[in-house]
Amino acid sequence: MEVIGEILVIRQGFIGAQSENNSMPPIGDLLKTDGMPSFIFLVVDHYFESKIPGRVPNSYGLSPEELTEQQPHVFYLTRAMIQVVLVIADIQNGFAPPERIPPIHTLLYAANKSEFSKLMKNPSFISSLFNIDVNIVPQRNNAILLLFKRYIDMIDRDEKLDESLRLMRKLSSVLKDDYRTLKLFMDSLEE
Amino acid sequence: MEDFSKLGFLKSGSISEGFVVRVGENISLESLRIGDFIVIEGKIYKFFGIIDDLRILSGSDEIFFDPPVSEIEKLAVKGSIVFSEAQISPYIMVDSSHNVHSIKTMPEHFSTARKAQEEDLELIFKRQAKMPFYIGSPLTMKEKIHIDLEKLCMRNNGIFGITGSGKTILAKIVFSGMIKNNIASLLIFDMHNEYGRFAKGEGVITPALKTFFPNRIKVFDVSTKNKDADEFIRIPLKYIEPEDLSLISSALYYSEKSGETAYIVAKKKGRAWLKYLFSLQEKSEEEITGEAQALGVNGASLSALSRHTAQLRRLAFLEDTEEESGIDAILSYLRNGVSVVVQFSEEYANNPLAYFLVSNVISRRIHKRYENLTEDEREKRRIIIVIEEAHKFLSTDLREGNIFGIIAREMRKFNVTLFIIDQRPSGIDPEVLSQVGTRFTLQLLDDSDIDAVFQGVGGGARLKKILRSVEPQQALLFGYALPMPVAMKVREFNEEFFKEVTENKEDPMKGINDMYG
Repeated sequence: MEVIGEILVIRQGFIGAQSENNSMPPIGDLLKTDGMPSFIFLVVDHYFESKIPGRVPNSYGLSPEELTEQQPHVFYLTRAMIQVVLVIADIQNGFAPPERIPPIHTLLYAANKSEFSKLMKNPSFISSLFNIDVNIVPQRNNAILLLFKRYIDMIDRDEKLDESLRLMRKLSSVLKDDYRTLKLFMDSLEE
Repeated sequence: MEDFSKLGFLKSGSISEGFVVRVGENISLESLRIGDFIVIEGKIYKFFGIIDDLRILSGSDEIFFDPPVSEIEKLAVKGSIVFSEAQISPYIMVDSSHNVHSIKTMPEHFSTARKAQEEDLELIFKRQAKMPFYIGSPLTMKEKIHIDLEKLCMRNNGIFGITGSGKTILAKIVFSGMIKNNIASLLIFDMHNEYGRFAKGEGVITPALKTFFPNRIKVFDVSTKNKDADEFIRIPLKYIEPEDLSLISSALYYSEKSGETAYIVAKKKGRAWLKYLFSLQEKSEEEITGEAQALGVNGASLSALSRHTAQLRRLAFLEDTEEESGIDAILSYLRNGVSVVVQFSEEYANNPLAYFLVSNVISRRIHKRYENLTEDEREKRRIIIVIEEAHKFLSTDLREGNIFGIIAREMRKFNVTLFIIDQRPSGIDPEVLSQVGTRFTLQLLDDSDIDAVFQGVGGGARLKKILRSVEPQQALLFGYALPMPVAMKVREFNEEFFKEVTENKEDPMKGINDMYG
């Protein structure tokens, strides 16, 4: 299994993981933990953190390429971080709300295609996505939208229409009191 | 596999106001229509009802400011933000042992609603009936609806509908069923010559009852020119009573005063009264005045009455003879299980005077014969008298002494009932209409006619909505012979039907081809 990152920050619902090799998983990706239950996370944001507290890096007007060439140490002193949200726990025979948050230093792995599909076909997973508190994670809808688009892009062409409709239907029941968001989702999914 | 017969689930409602079913998002609303037959599966009972309204609703108005554009978006919001409901009128409930009850309770939330299927229709219309007869199919289904002929024959019935709505075809289908099952003898006063051997209408010739049942139908005609007739009707003048004329007073253009005069003349002159009136037509005014004085009536009235009755002299079947022909034969045929079609062809075609007079005289004779019978003597054989254009002689104005009114009200216990075929039910005396047990209602457009048909019917307002959606060759049936109202397409009157009912070994179409090429 490919390690994507390691949980380093857990603070009042905020979970940050350091990315492995500075390679950032895209927003809207799904990550999981090893073992049982396996915790499922949604990537909602990227950010960088200085390894030296109080140090504010400055590029002095250099482009990223010039900076990499001329002052590579700048990058060694920052950490590429992934903000993730715990969505659901994969228990032996289905999915359930997570009873706890995995401890710090837990490794996060990429979810494979079949796990991705299984999750996206599970109605309680989709509902749980929308249970994420937007006050803690303002980027929630954006991340979910990207997740959906990734899924639609991934599946076979002959399944696309049925799956889009199924997802839109689920969305319209979850977002029945928020038509503006729903319309945004539907318009994006159709593109 | 998706179950397309599923409609949705019970959302709300009450026994008195009807049930509301939330229509499933996979159901196309246009696949449903008013009058559709619906089953709601309760835990103990199955509830049977019909759709009497459809509604589209939305959970939020926000959607209409930026409505979905693509089909997929429209589909996606269906069932969550926008949705549809069907209003169901429940009529009966059936327990697990297939006993039918009137609605006394109701199913709970989320009970499954579905369109009725073949077995449901069979359960309701066929298995409950002692003598089921296939009469049509629900508007959006191919399955069969049966009517209980035995129950049908026990009460008066009516077929109502505008011209061209399919009254005659429906009547021919029902009558064929009755004759085929040998359940009653029909006496059909066939105004437009449609029930005898063939019916000629709109350029098409179709077989009729005599072709299907050559041995169980006798065709009588008042005109001796009809070659298809088995026998002809002759009525002795002495049989005509003043009451017979009061019913046709409008056709004779005579007034109430003339009616009174007729009674006095009949009282004084006995059974020769009409012959006497005819004889006055050759007399001078002075002679008539003299006669009037002798009778104690007004001279002008007597003269007017004699003038008005002159029309009757043109009816060749009215004869000044002692012997009668036809009427007793008709009665004896009816009692022996042979149905009789009385036709009015050639010179009597579209002659209301002949039609009203003959139907009236014959029906009066039947009534007279039956009313004095004791319980044991009563006929076991049912007789059904079929009259067309009933509003013309069953109107409120003609209520007094009206033989058809009397038959409708009182003759059921004598096994004689009335079958009315009419296009203007609003013209029929409501008292008579209330005696009509089973109503076959085809298309009606006039509000007063629609109101008349539903007079005194429970839930009439709901049924009215269904009737308004009925098209030609479709009918709304309700009343005594059916466990619940049903909107249906009348079954096809085609060769398949001919083959099913006919007792004639020859192909019915062959007869037509032989005769008319």
